[in-house]
Amino acid sequence: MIITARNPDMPAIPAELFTPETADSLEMERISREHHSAAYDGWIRLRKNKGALVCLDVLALLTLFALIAPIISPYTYYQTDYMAKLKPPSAAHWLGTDLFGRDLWTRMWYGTRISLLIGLCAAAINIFIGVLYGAISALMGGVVDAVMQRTIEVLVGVPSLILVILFMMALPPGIWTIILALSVTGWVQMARLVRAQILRMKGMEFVLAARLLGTGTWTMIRRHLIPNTVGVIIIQVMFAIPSAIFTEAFLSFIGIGLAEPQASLGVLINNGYSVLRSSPYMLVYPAVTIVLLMVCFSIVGDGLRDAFDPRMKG
Amino acid sequence: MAGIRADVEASPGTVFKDVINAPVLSVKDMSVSIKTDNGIVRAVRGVSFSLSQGKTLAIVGESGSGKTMTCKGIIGLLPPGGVIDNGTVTLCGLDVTRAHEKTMRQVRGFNVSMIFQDPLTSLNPTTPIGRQIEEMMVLHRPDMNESARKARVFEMLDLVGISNPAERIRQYPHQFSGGMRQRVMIAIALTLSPKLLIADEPTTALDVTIQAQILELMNDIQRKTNTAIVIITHNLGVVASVADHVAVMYGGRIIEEGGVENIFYSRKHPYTQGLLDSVPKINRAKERLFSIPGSPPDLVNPPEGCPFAARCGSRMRVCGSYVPPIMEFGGGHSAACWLYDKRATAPPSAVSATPMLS
Amino acid sequence: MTAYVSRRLAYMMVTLFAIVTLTFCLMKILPGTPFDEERFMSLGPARQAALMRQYGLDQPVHSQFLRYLGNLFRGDLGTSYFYPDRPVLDVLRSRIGPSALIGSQAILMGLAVGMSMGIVAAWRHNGSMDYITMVVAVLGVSVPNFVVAALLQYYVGLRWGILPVAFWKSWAHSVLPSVALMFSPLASSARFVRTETLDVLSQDYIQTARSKGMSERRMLVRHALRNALLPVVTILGPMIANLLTGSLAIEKIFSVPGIGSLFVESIQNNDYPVIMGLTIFFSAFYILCILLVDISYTLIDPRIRLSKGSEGD
Repeated sequence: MIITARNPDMPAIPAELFTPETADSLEMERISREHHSAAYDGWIRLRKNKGALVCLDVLALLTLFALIAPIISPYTYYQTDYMAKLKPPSAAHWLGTDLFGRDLWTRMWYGTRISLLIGLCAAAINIFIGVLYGAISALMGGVVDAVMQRTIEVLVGVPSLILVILFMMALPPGIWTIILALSVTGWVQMARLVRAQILRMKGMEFVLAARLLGTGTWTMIRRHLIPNTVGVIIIQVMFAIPSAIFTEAFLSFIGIGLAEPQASLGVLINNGYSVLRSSPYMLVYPAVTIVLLMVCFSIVGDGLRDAFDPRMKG
Repeated sequence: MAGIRADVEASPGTVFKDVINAPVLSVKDMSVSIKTDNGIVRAVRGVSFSLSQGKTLAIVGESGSGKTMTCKGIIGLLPPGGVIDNGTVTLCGLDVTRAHEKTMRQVRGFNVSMIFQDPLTSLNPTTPIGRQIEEMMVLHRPDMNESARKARVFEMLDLVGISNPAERIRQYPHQFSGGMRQRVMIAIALTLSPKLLIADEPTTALDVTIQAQILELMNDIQRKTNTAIVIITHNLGVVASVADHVAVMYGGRIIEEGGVENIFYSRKHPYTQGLLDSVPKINRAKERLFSIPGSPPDLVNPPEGCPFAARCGSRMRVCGSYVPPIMEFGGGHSAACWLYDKRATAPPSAVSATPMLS
Repeated sequence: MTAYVSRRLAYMMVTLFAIVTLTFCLMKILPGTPFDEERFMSLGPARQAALMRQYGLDQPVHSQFLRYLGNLFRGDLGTSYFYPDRPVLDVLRSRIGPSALIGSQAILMGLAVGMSMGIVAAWRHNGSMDYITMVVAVLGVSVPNFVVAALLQYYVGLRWGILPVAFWKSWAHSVLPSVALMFSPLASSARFVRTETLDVLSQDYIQTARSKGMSERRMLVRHALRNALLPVVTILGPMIANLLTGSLAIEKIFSVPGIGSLFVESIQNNDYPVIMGLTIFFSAFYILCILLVDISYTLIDPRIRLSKGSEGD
């Protein structure tokens, strides 16, 4: 056999290098790129998303102010001072005062606190009902699932905000009424997502494999279904909170949400709007705050979705 | 278009002069790199081969070996961030790496066509298949009128074995089975009788029985049209049934090249050996299936020496640090392996010459 | 197809019935009488009873409900409490024009601008237009439309005096409300179309199109856009729903005499028949929109179009 090298002008190589060497297994492993769990990869992806991290910080900061600012302020959110009506920002009143001489700085952070509270509670209730409903529907299957799905199809047809408004009219005004009203239809989307996710997983091979290995139903739920559904739930929470905050603001703005002297971002925007011609800054503070909240929640939500569930689309 | 240096503009009239004698495709020392989030992937690192009319070249290798990027480089459709760094690609006398995008557009579809792995997704779901075949002529043959185009569509459907064309042309891809869709893809690719057909794993997504039909169809069409075919695959059965020449790729390089008989009966490279050993054999069914330990190299930081060194059972100390030269064994058979260097102390015993196809 | 539509229509009827029932019950548990307290008290027991009889409020609740349902089937939504001589349908009809105008202007403009932005953003992925589109999309869904409306009114209307800030006299009066209402459909369609187009551009058939040797523009127009824009139909339903509710605040701000402001007024006036009528109208309109959207989607997308079954090899 004649062997010729096509490019013989190789650098001088020491002859002793032409001796056998066993491939070592450690090196083989080193060469392939490291492998991580999906959750870890997701976390890495989220950490790369600078926008989402900044927004997370802003949210933390806003929450901190909402919790602390009303406490350390010398004023209360309902304390009126008719000698100091509609004052522009000053050393005594950092953001000025409203039509009744109430301190806007205090009211703004108190209002933010209420809005956040409403958002969190409404989201929590929606998640609770939605997850329960979706999980029962998906896990029971059969007739139960059919009935529950038909019910959902009926509810999906309801324009939810109209229903919320009707509930607001029928019940005594207050924070809990708003939360309750927001929970009337808010859970439907959650229920559908959870059901779809569980059904998808039920059909997946690893669940089948676990079944074949004799894993019990509860172990299955705890080990496989819950960890794999948490992502969907968290992402949905990040969208449910701003949506609740927005709805509250909307209700208060058209005059059927919270009543004076209660403060929420919606009430403050409504107040600000009523004196828009003379003191436009009164609208600006709560408007900026609500926009910040909404933007941050939505960017964090998008970031979470991109990081943990790239298949979902907005 | 990504990947094409558009500094020299060739006018379409003068490009295809020396077509008769030259090989349809000749690739010299081509390198492709792709910018990604994880760094620059050196997907193809100095690949050379050529192909003449009526012949079939199979490029074999596992996923990530650079075979798909080689083909995408040839027709100038590298993904975003991808460029041909080095080397030349001559396609029907035209240097692809220097051609203007406009010229390339005229070449694509007309001189070279491509079919893809998954016929389920490579046809436009919202356009009837007749229109998708006809589009080739709309793009490249303005001289053909509608009835001529329609006649050609019928002819093509007949060629790829789709009956009842009058009804079929109005149907959408989802109304066809996987094998039928791949036939449609072949019909599209061959509408304008291109000089070269590139098939990227054309049978991987199909049922085994359908695979054979499609391969038979490709052989058949090649006999009729004398098209040169580059077929990418990791399936050695496919290689055996269609290829004239085989190029084995690993880690962005061609590590062995030769006629089908050379590769199957007198393979030289330990990787080729491993590849053939991992094919299950009917007469030795009880044996544990062989697999090559380890995994392919990370092409963001390609290894210095032979890309296969880390997984090679016959590895020598030189292999990790020096790129092996290409050794010619005569008859167009070559391999890039240090084992065949005069200085090698270990005889290339690991590479046995047992015929595997009987 | 017929079976599908009739099934959907059946659901629609059930949903509507549920809404009517629920609304009726809510109206019944509302505190106080539906009439203006002072005026009602000053009438004396005889007139009070007469008024109650006139509206059928002396009947037991279930027969009131049955009567309401019966009237509803005949297209009679009852008589307004606040405008005592006017049937609800009449009140509704007189207010629908302005809402329809600003609503359709908003959705058409929003879709046109939003879809174009989405396409360009995806085509020039990671370019400056992509960046702008993402910012607009995030702001559009994050900034409450009543805040946008208030700011528009203050700056464009009051400070710069370019456009009328309120009331309903000419087309110019419809511009600001339409613009304020436009942002939400603009943002959601821009975002949606961007994602869809990006998705389509990564599909294999786009690669096939490129390998056929066509220009980028032809590839985009003939192969990408059609497939990317079809699904926009699916978000029209929620979009219209948003528009309906958005109009409540917007019409209040710009004093547009539409059904949105009618709804808010009726709440303030305890005009229950009008509230119920509007609720039913909103719901029916919403459900109908979703139904039409779903039907049209099955009609335009050959993949869903009720296939006669695919044929094998």
